[in-house]
Amino acid sequence: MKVQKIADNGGLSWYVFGRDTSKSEHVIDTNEYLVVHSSGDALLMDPGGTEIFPQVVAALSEVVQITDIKAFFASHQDPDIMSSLPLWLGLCPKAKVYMSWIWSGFIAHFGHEYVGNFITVPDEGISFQLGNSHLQLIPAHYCHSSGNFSLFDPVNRVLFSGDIGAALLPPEHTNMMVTDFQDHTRYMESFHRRWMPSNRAKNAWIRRVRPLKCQYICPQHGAIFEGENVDRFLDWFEKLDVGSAV
Amino acid sequence: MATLLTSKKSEYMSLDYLTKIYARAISIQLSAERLMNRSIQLGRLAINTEVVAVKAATVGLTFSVIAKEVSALARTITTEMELLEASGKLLASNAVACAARARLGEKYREALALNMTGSNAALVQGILNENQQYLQKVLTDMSQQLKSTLVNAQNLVRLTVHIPVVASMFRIESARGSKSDALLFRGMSNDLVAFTTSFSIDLEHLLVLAVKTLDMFGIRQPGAAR
Repeated sequence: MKVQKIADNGGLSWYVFGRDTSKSEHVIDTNEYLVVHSSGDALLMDPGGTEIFPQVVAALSEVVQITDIKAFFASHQDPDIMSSLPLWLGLCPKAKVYMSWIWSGFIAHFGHEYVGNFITVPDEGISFQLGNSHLQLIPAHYCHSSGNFSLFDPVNRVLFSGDIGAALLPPEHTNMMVTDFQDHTRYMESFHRRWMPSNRAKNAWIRRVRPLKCQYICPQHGAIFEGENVDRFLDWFEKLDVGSAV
Repeated sequence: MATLLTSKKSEYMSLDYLTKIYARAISIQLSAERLMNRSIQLGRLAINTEVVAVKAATVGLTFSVIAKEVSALARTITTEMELLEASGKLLASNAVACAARARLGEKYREALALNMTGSNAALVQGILNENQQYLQKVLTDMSQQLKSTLVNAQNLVRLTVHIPVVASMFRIESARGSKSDALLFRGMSNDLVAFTTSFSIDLEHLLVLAVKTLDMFGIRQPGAAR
């Protein structure tokens, strides 16, 4: 599994884990993001499915002490997002798990004994601390899940966007960054038309995100948008007619 | 012979092994539930015989004695069945927990095989060890539950043997009663025989399942049916 540092400012370091060549071909490729505070405290975003847990935990242990993971964030409820939760909480039993309030009863099906770790996030989002840094959960409801959040680091201007910006890349596409935006759209278009159900919700998310002046937009599948590609993506997404694939 | 309690064989903790145990435990639970439903039929038959005993004026006294015998037998079988059903449920829920834990253990083991080192590897190994200990304990409990399931089933076999005897009593009494009583008594006798046949088939199925599952734990029942 590939590991790459994305950003490192103001005491927060961002890492992406992905492009796992050893995973089963039946399992969709996912990116896991880790942000580590200079105090050592770490947050893992969308930790992934049970199937890829061994690869993620092995790769992650090269970067951080597992016991330093103080929190997990689930952008939404899908199995590729966090069916590995019982495995992670077995290793970090005190870690908090941030998730939309509407999904806690559903996510409890992955392991009800950890419900005490859940921090249920209200629809309007929240701000929380990692070390002494603040991270923000930005509403992304119906993009694609009915209870969905993006996570923003205002220091590094990194936005973890969950399935927004996702691309279903062929295996030979190993670059973690988007290099040719125009070419990249062919891997994103059908995904967004099918998985994103509402133009209204999509445009509301874009209106929230533009003023953040992100340097990076980091999706859970595919490649990361950096610099000018961030605005290119937001413009492309704004024009796309979603909920229109069937 | 080494049993699960003493064996260190890793095959006893493998996901494949625990999945098979899980499937067997669920089959035993379903089998016990089917038997429970059948024993409810016996309870109904017992009530019928009591009602008929009151009505059958000509041979009422003898019939009443036989009816009481049926009721007593039905109560004993129901008590034994309740124990069997409870141990079947416990067995199945433990099997579910085991299969889930085994799946987690498999993933931790896979992670360690990816060259994890240092304190992170020690942490994963520690959790894996705890998981193994948990599985060992639950599997030991399950082997005990299986043994008690087997005892309950064997007790039921002994009790069931009495039912055809009671059915014959009805037949004998039918010869002494009026024409309508005779018809009624023979009907009762036939119902009891039919019950015994179906109950015995289900009971035998459960016994075979329990013995085969105990075999999987490395516990053999001397002279038990295969």
